[in-house]
Amino acid sequence: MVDFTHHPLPAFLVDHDLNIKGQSRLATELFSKPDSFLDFVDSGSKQKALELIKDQEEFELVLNTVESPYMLFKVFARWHDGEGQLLCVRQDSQIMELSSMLQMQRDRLAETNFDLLDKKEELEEAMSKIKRLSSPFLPISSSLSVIPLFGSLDEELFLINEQQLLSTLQNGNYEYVILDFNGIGEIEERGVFAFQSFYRMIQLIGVSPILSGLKPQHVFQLMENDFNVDQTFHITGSLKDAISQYNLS
Amino acid sequence: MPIDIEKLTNTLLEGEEDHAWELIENKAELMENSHLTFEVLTSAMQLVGKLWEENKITVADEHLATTTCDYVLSRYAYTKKKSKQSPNGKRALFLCIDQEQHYLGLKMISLLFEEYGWETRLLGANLPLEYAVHTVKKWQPSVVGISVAILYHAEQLKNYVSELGTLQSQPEILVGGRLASNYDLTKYCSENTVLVPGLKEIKLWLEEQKGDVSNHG
Ligand code: B12
Repeated sequence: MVDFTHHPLPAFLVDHDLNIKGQSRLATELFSKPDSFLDFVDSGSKQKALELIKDQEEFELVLNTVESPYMLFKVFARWHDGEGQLLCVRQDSQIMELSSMLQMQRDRLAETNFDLLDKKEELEEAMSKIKRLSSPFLPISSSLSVIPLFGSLDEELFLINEQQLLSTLQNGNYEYVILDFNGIGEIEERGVFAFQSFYRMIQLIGVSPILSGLKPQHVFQLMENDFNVDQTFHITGSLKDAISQYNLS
Repeated sequence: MPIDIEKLTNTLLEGEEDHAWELIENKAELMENSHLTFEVLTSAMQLVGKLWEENKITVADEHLATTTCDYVLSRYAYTKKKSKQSPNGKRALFLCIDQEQHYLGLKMISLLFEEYGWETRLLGANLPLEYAVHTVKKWQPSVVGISVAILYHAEQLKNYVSELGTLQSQPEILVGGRLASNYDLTKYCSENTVLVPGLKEIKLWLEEQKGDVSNHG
């Protein structure tokens, strides 16, 4: 039989009915000398202990110790020939640490002013307004119009403006539309996809799109993201060039 | 229950605060009725307790669920701020007794009071008696709400009730929490202490108080 007195953990040897047959020195320090294991199981843990102790190897229980009426332990149970070895490993120090971390998080949460959420929504609305203004529509003649793009070429720019621009183009019976990149700074990868689909749709409604004001860096970024800057695209230099070229034709 | 408690409990245990919030926010019924929302969150936390008893989760998981639930509560309270009743000029102080960490219920109650127009202070978990006394003397609340969840704290409760009862301002003392729901705490309380088993009862109490206010014009 294992020598329980010198077991390095608080440990108990119990019989089938959880009566204590032997215990380690550490167990005595923590729990004194109870008759039954159940004697020091907290009321809120008793049911759990009864249900699990025989068929699970590891579970948490709240136990009464000499020091404290309730302390959290992880209990390891091994049964052999109707005898059980129960090891009790204190969880509190670990839990305390975790708990204090959470406490900090909670305090931070309390500070998280939910006003921030409101502000965020306001900001998003303002952003969306700005985006709407970032691609105005300029009719130049009965057949030519210009869409000067501003800001960063991102998905939203098109999400917000696409429908309206397309219907204006279609209703106006334009032949050409110049998409001017002069005001565009950054080009985002997802913006390129959105742009490509916008471009296709313009073609679909029977209008020829022309790109102008592309900076070398734009072309590079567009190509890098698989936008085919090939022959089928009308690319001109500046907006002025584009207008004079297509206004005449 | 207006929503799937198991689902809500899982989001709490996973620490998915945004998801948990969505579950609440998407139910008009819950957004209108705090009482119902608190009931739902209480059930979810009780289910957390059941899962621990079944050895399916650990206390570490309970901690995360608690923080997540707390977040949802704060966010809920923030959203509801606009629909608060006009101030009734009364003050209520809320605390958990010394060593008591179970504060979620107390927070719900304090939010409910706010909604009814009370000015509240939530001192929260683990408040030593001397601080409680100090704050009551200084802030002069007409109600002090105390929460207890752990059985061993019942003895302590007695001290709180009697000490706060001797104060000159004579605040009304309400006692709630898991213990008040599950045990008869009369012997730890005084004659004037109001024992509140749960949400239903506190709502009734609040409605009654409202009646009082209007009676006094
Ligand atoms: C979550 C939880 C925790 C969280 C704390 C949550 C928190 N901050 O509130 C953490 C993980 C920190 C925790 C720790 C501990 N817990 Co704990 N915990 C729970 C659990 C699972 C749920 C509690 C909960 O949040 N309920 C939901 C709330 C909203 O319900 P409520 O408090 O009852 O409140 C409602 C009403 O009572 C009312 N109300 C509440 N207060 C007030 C006040 C007033 C004035 C009024 C009018 C009304 C009112 O309003 C609410 C509305 O619905 C319970 C299990 C269970 N079934 O309850 C165990 C439980 C309460 N914990 C327990 C224990 C033992 C502990 C620990 C000692 C050990 C451990 N597990 O690590 C520690 C130490 C804590 C300490 N010193 O206080 C035991 C208590 C056993 C006993 N003998 O009494 C329980 C029963 C688990 C168990 N079966 O063993 N716990």
